[in-house]
Amino acid sequence: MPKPSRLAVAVSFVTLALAMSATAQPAPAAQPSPQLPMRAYVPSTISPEAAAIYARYRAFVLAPRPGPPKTLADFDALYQGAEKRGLAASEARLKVLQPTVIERHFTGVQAFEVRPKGWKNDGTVIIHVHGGGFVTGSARSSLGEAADIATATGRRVFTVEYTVAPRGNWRMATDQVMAVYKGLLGQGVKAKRIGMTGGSAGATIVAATTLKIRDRGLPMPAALILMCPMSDFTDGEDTRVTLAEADPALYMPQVRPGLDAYADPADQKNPYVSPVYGDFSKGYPPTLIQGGTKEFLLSDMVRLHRAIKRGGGISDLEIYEGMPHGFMGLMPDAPEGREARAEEVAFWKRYLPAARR
Amino acid sequence: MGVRLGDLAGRYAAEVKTTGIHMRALMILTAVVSGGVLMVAAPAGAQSTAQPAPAPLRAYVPTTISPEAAAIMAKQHAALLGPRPPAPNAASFAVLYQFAERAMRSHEPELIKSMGLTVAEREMGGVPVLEVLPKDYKSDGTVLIYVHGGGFILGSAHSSLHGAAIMANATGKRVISVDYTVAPKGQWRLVTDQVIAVYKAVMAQGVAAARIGMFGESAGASIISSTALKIRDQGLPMPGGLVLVSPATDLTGAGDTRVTLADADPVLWPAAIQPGIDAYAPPADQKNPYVSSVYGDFTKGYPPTLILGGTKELLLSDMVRLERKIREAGGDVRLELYEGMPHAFPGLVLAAPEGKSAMREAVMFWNRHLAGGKGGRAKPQDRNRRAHSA
Repeated sequence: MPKPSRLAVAVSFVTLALAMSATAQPAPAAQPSPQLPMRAYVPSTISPEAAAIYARYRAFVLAPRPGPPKTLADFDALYQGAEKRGLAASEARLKVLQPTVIERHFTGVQAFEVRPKGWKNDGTVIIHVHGGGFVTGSARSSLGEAADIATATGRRVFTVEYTVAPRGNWRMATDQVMAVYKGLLGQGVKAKRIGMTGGSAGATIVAATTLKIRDRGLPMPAALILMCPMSDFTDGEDTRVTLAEADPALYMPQVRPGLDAYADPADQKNPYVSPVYGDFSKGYPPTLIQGGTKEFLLSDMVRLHRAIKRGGGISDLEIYEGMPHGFMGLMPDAPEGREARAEEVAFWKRYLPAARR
Repeated sequence: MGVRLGDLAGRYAAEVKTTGIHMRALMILTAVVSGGVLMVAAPAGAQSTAQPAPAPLRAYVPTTISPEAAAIMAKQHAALLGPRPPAPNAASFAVLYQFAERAMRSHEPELIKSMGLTVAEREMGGVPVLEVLPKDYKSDGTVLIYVHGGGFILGSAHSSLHGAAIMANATGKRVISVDYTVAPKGQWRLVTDQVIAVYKAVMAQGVAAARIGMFGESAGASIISSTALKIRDQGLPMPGGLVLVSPATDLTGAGDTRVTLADADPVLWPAAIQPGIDAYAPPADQKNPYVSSVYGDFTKGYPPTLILGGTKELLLSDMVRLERKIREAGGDVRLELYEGMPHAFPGLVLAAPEGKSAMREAVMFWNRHLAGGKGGRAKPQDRNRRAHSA
């Protein structure tokens, strides 16, 4: 395992991206109280390393929740802010990992191919779709995370430049990811040698695009790894409510405008937007879903897992104690982050085997 | 409020009668564990006088569960709007026990008849058990040992017949329900020994360890998860598999969702369960792996395990942590969570898609792990070779 980045911003939603600017302020774990909101509760049952990272973000978590973006200018400012921090984090990571980065174009869609240091072609490819609440992040600012995946797996990773909302939307984003997938097929890469992965919004897009790929009659990718996916844009789930105050990273009033910018409310039960509404009995690749007990998206993950299994597919659900949204990128050095990455590597080994030569 | 226990028993029995058998799991865990006050805390019709207060989080029913499950939850709605009833204490354990037994056992004859069960009291290894045979039982060479729930202080093999019976009928297998001694009389050392004594007696009948499965819900699942460690540590061959429904695996009460979901859990809350836990294991013993299985060393081997639970459970962290402990040690474990489901849901919503799915998972698990058992010690599985099912 490489020494991973302190923060892989691309895996995170809007607020975790903002968390990068938080001031360090160590504090002991404490029970929630009127003085301490539930979202600042740190259980005694996580690793000391993870607890130390929580302590570092305590001031951010305790700060008043930021207001939602309203205008195009708000979204642009959000994007620029996240991009600035994301690029800095990504560049720092690239310096450590020293991958080879090659710019590619697939029928007009840009992607970066990231080859780990010392890469040997085993015939497999991983397509990576960055997160950022559907409104922030880019292929370039997700290079660090792509390099982490490439280094951990020894495989080459293509990170896709999809158009984030409000300029982009679900039709466009899923088509753009599909264009990269088709482009790779066109270059002779077998579908059974392609895996797809993403975190947060990126995981949503991967899950939805896979349904679209299948429905278009294309061969499906071999396997998916979905980190902290949202699978339903509509409200009404269990943990959306029960964990709304406990989630230290995401806050629905702040996330909601991005969701509605990406998909009109009338479209939000379309499976290419909210994959949990897909018909999984028509086939779906083996899928690993990872998340934490602090996430209000827990219901999203549980429901997607059940939907895949109900359809006869293979799905592994791995939930981590006391972990927040995007913990794999936020605390890669903590045991929890290392375990999650090890699960991912093992999953790829099993379902995305190297080509026999 | 201020209702005498006698009135309560009547109301409780009436409620069980009108709402049917599937309500019992929730009834025993809410109405009974918490002192039987829940169902009368906010009787329907008594709410109209007061200003409508915002519904507490524990009464929230998401739109994402099946209509069948939602209908069952709706029956509990009025009760959940009231304040949490007072917690039990050492003085009330005996009264509660009698109350629960009376209410639950009154349905036993009807249950036996409607499900076509053959039920016999036996003694195995010096421990009383209830042998439950499903309708048209034919031995397939496997046996399931059941350990009932009830917060460590309530329940018996008789009053928990429903839990044993639904598994017997779903699998066609013989179920041996352990009539262990509940706390405060029976504590963790005795209880885990009693389960082991029954396990040994089943083996003495010629059943290979690998053809024995163990299952239970709530406190029963906790006891099983710990007993399996004790079985291993005593050098006995381990059972072929464990099915743990809503186990508490850390009796110290630590855990993320013990706090974050404390107000959202419609069935359990920390104050309601802690007195029974402390009666079962004093705080000084609560980090012993035979009490809190999550503190066990799973690298020394553990049976294949299926954990079933719901997103509404304050024990979610207990389940997640046990799953990760087994998995990190290279064991074979799967955690199957269900959207919007409460503590010990399979028995509660048995006829709903969620309940059917959970029972199907259990049946497939037994088929995979008990069917071809050859006996001997279970081996930790390659983490990459986890079995999957549809």
